[in-house]
Amino acid sequence: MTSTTPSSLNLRRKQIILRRQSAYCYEALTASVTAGSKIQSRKRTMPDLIEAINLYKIFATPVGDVHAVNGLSLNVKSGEVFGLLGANGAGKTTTLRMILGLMKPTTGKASVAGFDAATQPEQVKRSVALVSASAGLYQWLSPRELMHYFADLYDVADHAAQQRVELLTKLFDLREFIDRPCSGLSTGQQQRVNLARSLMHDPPVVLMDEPTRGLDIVGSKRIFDFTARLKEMGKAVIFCTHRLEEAQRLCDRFGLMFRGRLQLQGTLTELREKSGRDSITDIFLDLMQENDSTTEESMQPQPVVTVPKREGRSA
Amino acid sequence: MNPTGDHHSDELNLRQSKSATQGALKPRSSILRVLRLARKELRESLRDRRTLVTLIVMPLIVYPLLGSVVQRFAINRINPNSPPAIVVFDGSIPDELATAILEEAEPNSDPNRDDRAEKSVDGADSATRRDSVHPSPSPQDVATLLTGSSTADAIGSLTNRGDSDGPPVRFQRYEHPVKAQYVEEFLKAEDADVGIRQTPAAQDTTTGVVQPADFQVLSRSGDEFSLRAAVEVEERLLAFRDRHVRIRLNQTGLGSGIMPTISRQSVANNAPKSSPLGAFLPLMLVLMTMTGAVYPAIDLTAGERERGTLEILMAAPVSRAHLLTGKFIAVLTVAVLTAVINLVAMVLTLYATGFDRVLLADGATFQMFLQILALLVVFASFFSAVLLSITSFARSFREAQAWLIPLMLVSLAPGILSLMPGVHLTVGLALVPLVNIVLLGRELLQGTAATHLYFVALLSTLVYTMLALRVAASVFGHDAVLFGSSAGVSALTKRPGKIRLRIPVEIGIGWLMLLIPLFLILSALRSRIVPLDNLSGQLLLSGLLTILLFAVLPLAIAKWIRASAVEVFALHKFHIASLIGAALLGCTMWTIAYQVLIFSKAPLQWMEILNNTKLKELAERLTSETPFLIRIATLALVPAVCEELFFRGFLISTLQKNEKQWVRPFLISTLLFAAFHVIVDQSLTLERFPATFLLGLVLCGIRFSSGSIFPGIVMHALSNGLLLSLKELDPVLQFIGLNLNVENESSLPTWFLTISVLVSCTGAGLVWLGRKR
Repeated sequence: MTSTTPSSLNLRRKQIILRRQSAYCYEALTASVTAGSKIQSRKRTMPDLIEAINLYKIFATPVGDVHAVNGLSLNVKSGEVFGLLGANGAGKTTTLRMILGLMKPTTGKASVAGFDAATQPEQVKRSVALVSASAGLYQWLSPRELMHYFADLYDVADHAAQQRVELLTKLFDLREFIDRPCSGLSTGQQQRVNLARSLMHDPPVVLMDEPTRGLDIVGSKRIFDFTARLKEMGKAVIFCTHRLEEAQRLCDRFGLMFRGRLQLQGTLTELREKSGRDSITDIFLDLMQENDSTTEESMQPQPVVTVPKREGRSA
Repeated sequence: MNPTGDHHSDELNLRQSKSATQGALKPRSSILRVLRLARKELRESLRDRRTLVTLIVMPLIVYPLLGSVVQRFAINRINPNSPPAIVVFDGSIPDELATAILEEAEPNSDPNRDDRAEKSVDGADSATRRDSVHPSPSPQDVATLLTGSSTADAIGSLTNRGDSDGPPVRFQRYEHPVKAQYVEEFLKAEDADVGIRQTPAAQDTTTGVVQPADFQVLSRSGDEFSLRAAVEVEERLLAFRDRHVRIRLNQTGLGSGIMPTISRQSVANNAPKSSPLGAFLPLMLVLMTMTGAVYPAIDLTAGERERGTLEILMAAPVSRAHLLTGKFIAVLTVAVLTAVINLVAMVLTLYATGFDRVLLADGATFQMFLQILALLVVFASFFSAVLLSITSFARSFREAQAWLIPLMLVSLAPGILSLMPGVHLTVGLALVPLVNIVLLGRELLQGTAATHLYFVALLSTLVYTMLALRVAASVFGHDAVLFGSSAGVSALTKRPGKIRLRIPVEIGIGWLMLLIPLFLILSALRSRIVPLDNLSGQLLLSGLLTILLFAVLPLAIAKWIRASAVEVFALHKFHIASLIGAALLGCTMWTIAYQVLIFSKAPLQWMEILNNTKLKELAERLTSETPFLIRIATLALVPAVCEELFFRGFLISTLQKNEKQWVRPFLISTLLFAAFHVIVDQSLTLERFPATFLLGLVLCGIRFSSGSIFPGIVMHALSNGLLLSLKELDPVLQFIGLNLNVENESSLPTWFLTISVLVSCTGAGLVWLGRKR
């Protein structure tokens, strides 16, 4: 389903696939309500909603090139939460940006719901919600206006947008301040508005970039509940964080990222088998020690040899 | 989220809305979409108190304040209730004369007084006035006497009301007369405002010649009130003397018919008055419009980044151009609102204070209001675009403000320049942004604006707007700016590690926006360095200017941002066939261009700007007064090299996204190329446009097909050179049976054109053969 020659026919086909897929997610979802175990086997046959193959991102700097992402491959299915774990500066955000089509990979390929991030960024962006702790709100708009603005950004029709606002208001309990300016809201209320606006266009894929950064226990709990709900709804989720314990509870599969490389990947059981350690934190610490002794110079700028071209601009 | 809510029903709801959303993802028309995006930006801006302050409160305070200050200033000078002027008399002046002067309300109003005066003013034949601080008396000459008092005129012109309109000065006599030598002291001590002293009439005892009496009216220098009073006293004295002389003439039987009559009349002024206040008003409006746009522009660009909303905007499936257009519409709306409110506040203040009749030629008319509004709207769009392109670079509010301070200072300079009385709107200045708007505003207020300049200024400002928007669109939300890697302004300061193959759009277009005003202003300054009649010097200077602006600085920019000069300026190898083809084209294309020029003159004949005798004269002087070699070097070789480097190198490299894209870059570059050639010596020569456009297209074709700039240079130089040396080539042309009649601008013979076209086609074919494979 990842075609290299985009044509209107292909596009149409992909849209159909996408719709079927989301319909399928809901079948799976209702099935999970009745028979929880069945879903695991059916999920295996589903196509990946997020797919990254051998991604490289090299930044040119005055002192030389920096390999921010170094040959990363991953895939996430519908109803699956993938934890992209790593220290600050490991390349998590860069990876997300390449998947989202904000940044073109130096080499490699990323696709979301069958759309190539590099060549069809618009369709990719339509299929993705970005949740980020650093994202702010417009102080002078009310949550309702804000949500309608995002409906405009995502080209959602008015009647559908109104329905969505109603639904999300109920889901995130926004009713009491829905028409007040955002500047007067508490941090928790702002966070709920932020989550609500990210779902305005009802995307199949959710990318979460350090969503719990700077939040208290209640705020973090809300994010976990939200992520769990997304999973139930059949979304494919990438959850980026450097807080390993919380990821361990939440994610189905993990990717441990270190200096632009995905060093280990798999479910918790698989990781335990590979490393012989029990907790993600221990596995990660082992990994760091290993790397420190072997690839000390990988953080140093390296002269580029194989990169054909300087990166272009995002759409 | 709602932890207590019924999950299952929520899920069902989500599913229902899902299908609705899916069906609703039909793309809206992009205009509608942009407008909806603009709605949010406007909401955000207009709800912000800081915007509202500059929008409404500022004009409501500034104009009435300004109006009342100016009014107070003016009233102080001509206040009818001001205290009477104290006049101190020299004791030798007859009392009757003093009374007559002080009581006279209006000169010539009461002819019955003449007799009384006649008795007392014996021998008062000359009246002069002088300032006390400049003790040497300056007798006014006959010319001043005939045209009336020049000083009174200067005061009258300030208010354009003339003397008759102003409230009369009341006089009061100082209690007692003083000695002649103390009159000055009384003035200095401010005990009196006007002093009058006389040197009495005397008769030379040896020759018997009568030395007439000499009256001096003294005023305190630097004191407007004292001066006004002195002028009035002087006038009364003059009128008094005239009546006296007339009576004496009648008495001697000569009759007063030989006395010239002098009367005063105020006439509407046709020549442009360069009232500094009249120039100040448009500058004021422009500055206020600027301040109105600044805050929203920062808030909607740098503010997005500071709030952390830019990233989620970039993650949305909406193009940066659309987002930016929405923001542009919002900033423009706020700027236009500011302009309208300011204009209305200004006009109301003018009406209320009565200054409209003073400052404006025809008073404030509705048509003028609309014209100035149109001017301000266009300017607002230009300035909003420039603001957005600058604030888009900034990472935070503070940084944006730091960026804008130099911009404001830079824009103040041309504004102040346009306040100078000697500066008038020419075609050249009409193309310089900001200056054109302020100058045009001033001329509109004075009712002297030329229609074609009005449109040139508006159109050029619109073009600048588009360029600035293009820069803004490429900068706004650029991933590099967002994510902190090197691009945009940082590309200029940081310099990337790798060699660039192209000029980034924002840098290329930024230079183009600087180049046009620089070129025009520096061209205008040429005459200051070398006198205008030294044509060779002028040519050499303009050659140097071309080299500097079109070749040296673009090369320096490319070097500075580490762009490969070979790639940017297309200094590639080329096939020999394309060189021969280009040479053939260069030898023959001029005939076609010449013919096009003659054809395009016909439909444009009616336009005033074309019958430019000044230019024709200049062209004739060029051929007769400058050495042939200098002409060839500065008008053929230098332009050929520099213009090719810039238009077919730098500009194409800026406009091209990749090697294959060429139609749009070539069209834009050729349009600019032709537009540059239309401006000759501060005049518009529109008839040159089609011919230069055609030549530009051919040159682009050569550049595209050969992949190199060199064949184009050869063609350009040959073409220009042949056109320049038509006179020198005349014997050769005569020999082949061609009688060119350049002076009469007659068409070329058909056979000659046919051959030219054939050779040109051969050349084009050769160029195609030698194309880059």
